[in-house]
Amino acid sequence: MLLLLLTKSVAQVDTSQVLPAVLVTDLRVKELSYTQLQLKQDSVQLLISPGVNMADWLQQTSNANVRQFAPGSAASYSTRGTSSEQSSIHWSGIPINSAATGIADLSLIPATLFSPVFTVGGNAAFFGSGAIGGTVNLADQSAIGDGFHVGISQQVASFNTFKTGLQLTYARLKWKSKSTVYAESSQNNYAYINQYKIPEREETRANAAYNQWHVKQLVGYKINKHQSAEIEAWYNQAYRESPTSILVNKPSNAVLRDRNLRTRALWQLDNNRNLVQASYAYLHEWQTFEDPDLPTPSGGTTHDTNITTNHVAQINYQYKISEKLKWQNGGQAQFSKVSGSNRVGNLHTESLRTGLALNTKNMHAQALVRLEVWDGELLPISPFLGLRYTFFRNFNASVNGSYVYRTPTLNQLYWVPGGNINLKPENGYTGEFALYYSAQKNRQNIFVRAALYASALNEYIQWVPGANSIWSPQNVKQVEIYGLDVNATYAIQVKQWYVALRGALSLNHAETVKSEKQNDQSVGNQVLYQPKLKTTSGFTIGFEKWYVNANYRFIGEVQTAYDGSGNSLDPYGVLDLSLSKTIGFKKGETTFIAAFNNITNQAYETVPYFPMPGRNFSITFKINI
Amino acid sequence: MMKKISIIALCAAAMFACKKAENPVPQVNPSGDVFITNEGLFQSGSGALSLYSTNVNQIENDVYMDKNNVPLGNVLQSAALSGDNIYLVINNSQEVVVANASTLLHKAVISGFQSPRYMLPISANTAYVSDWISNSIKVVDLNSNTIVNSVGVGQGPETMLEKDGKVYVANSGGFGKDSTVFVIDASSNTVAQQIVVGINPAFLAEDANGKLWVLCAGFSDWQNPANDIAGSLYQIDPATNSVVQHFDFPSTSNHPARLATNNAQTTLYYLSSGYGGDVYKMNISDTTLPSAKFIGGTFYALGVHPQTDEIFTSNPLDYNQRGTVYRYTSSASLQDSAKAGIIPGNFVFK
Repeated sequence: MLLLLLTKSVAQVDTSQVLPAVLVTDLRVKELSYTQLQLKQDSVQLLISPGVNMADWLQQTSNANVRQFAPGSAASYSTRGTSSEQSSIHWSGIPINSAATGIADLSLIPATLFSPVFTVGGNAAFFGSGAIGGTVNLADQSAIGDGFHVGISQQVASFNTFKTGLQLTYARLKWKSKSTVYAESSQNNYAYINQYKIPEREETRANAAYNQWHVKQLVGYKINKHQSAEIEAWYNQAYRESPTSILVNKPSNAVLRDRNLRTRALWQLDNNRNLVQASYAYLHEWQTFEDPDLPTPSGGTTHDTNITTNHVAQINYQYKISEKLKWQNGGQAQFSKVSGSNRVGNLHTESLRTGLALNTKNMHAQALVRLEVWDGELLPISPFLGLRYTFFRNFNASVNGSYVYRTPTLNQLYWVPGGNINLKPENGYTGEFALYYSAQKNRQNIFVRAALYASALNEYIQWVPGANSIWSPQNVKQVEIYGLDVNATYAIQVKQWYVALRGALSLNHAETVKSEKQNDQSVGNQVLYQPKLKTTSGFTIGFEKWYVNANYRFIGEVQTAYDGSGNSLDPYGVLDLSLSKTIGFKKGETTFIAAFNNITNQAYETVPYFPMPGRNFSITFKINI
Repeated sequence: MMKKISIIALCAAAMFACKKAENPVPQVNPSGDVFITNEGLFQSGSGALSLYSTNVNQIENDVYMDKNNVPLGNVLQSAALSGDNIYLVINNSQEVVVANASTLLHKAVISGFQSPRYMLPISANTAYVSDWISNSIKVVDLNSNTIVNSVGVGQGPETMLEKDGKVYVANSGGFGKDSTVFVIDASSNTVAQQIVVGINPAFLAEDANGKLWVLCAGFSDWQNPANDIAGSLYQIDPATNSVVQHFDFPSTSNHPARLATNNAQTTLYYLSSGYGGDVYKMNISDTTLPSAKFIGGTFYALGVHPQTDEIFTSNPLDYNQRGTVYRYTSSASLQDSAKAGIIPGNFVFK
């Protein structure tokens, strides 16, 4: 069983999996799986994981690079040389990147709430704006067994960190329900060496405390043999102190507060020829930044509020023309509105996509086009072409290419002062060629994949100073990207023994090749915060439900200065170890996990002058009944 | 900064990455006659010191970092020379770093500020530091490198000027408005008088007649430009501490900045805007503000070399990358330009 689970940790020939009848996966994720790499949360890793958020999961397991000021603070990610706004996050198919900022905060997404799938590569034809570097698809797809079940987890960790989770599931006849409550808090008062002082000194991170909690409810109903429906609501609230650079000697009193309400309803029809998914979602995000030490010109202190609402209606339709040929279609309409201290505005987008997918024994081919009207303006047609061919037993080659784009955010359009309603979408082309080998034999599983990719992106948006010192976003840059991703896993299970090895290598060159700005020194240099090298590696050894697990990640030098010669983040490597034991009993099982993070006490930063924690520990207890 | 990296990672780094070499410590002292303070990005450590030589038209960047292998700090606002030392005012780091002005080797840190902006040595042993957020002038003992006194002033004290034992402090308004110049008796460290001038005075200069000039930025409300107030230029007689004359800038969008004089103190120079302005030139006997710019550009900093009368300006470009410093003759002929650090903000002439 474990072996089976592991095979789903990387791209597979087909991502179809046995889902409970009324739990629906986003159809597009499955459609894409034939020709693009998809990383999934490894079930073994999930079982023995001490509990992480999406920022940690992507940093530990993917080719993406995550930036954050401290654990728990706002986190953004980028992959394959693209910016944070150029990667999108979808919740059961609904885009949840903030319409105001263009970014989804990964720290506010506990990975334990979902079964995330990370699709690497451009796929705007499927997912629309922002799907340039990659797409994270969040879905609650864990199995719900018949009857009533309870899952409880509790973690105690360094720096006064506590994580508590409670999950109740109920399934009977046509009904399924999953209720989840999750809470997390930390003082985050970790020690670090301030290497920028003479002499060096040990200091304690101040004003980095945070807490967040989530409530999520999913209800599914199987209408009949072919139809099902589900509704889901997810509310979370967070309080996060905003630490300062360690070059600043004064503690900060700034605070970031978030409240997010996300609701969706979905109906699915699945008969022999037709597969239809129709959904509607309402998303409400509320965020304030308060700094009592920062007065405003009009009096008082800084209290910046951002309220964004989104209505999203979506339909995916797949028609089986024959066993080998499928007609894939979809459409989406979205209305977004922002109001806040410095901006008021709204926009609407409508899109349609249609294409064909051909699946034979040795070949999978996809051709798709997307039409999008952005606030009344027809954008260029976005095509996607993908082909995978099995040319010798388990050896495969795949190639795909697409036109990609990212429409401006509400902040970029309507911020006062400086918002620019004349901005054009960022756009360009991206493609990849991959070779991979995948085999399951004699209780062994092996997967090796190497992908060469390239992108040419235009109209990069950047805030630049204008008249009277008012900054305004402009379309200014062209960026060219190329690189290599290699992913490999090997697992074997012999009697009570289980061994898994995994590794990934990412080489990335992302260069600004042209700029509309005068004397732009970024031309010819690596795009900021894009490491040229990232590797992840690890192993899991299990025996009679004892597991030793190790993960190591190495991030190469990261440029933080436009001219390529100034400030940069030094390379670093972080090693995490854990030991766990699962004990089964009559109606369930319990798991104990002891985790030792950053065991070599590596000093590192993902944002300059914001140190991350050194060696730290956690103890986790889980019980499932 | 050495990091612990495993053997595997080191191999990988050697194969694929270009780890920057640790900065070697130059054995030769940097030479030049113009220090340039580069603010750097807010919240970053890219505040840096450059040194320009007018003799050989050369600039050395990051001279403090090269010598000490640590960043200066966050927002290098300004610098001052006193004795053998250069005092580097690090605004957001809330400290003043003391280094030898010749070797640039670190000597000490003066802490206890909230938002230091400018330093004015008033004797071999004492200096004043304007502390913007605390609305005070900190009195610093240059022997012990400690704050020994504090004098409350108006909102957002910015530049200072010493004359006849009195220190004039321009209160720039901080996050709001002020319209006063405070006069401090340097012998007692007490406020002797307040002079009302235009809205948000920030820069001071003395002319050949012993009169003081005060450049007031006016008020800028980005969210509601209807609230904008134009800048102004005031002349003060220090003998009576009264306003002699003043000039109002014509448009509410005029927010001038920086103020410097030539060596003879007969000519004033200022920028038409604090963020990307032209250089304007005005004789101290003029009865109106100049209508034509003297040097066109998008300048951020302004200084006049006390020996050559050459005019130094800077263009911070997009405030993210290295800015350019320009050197003009007193007749506005461009002599040289060079890349400095990020946001070159002030010049200090040896």
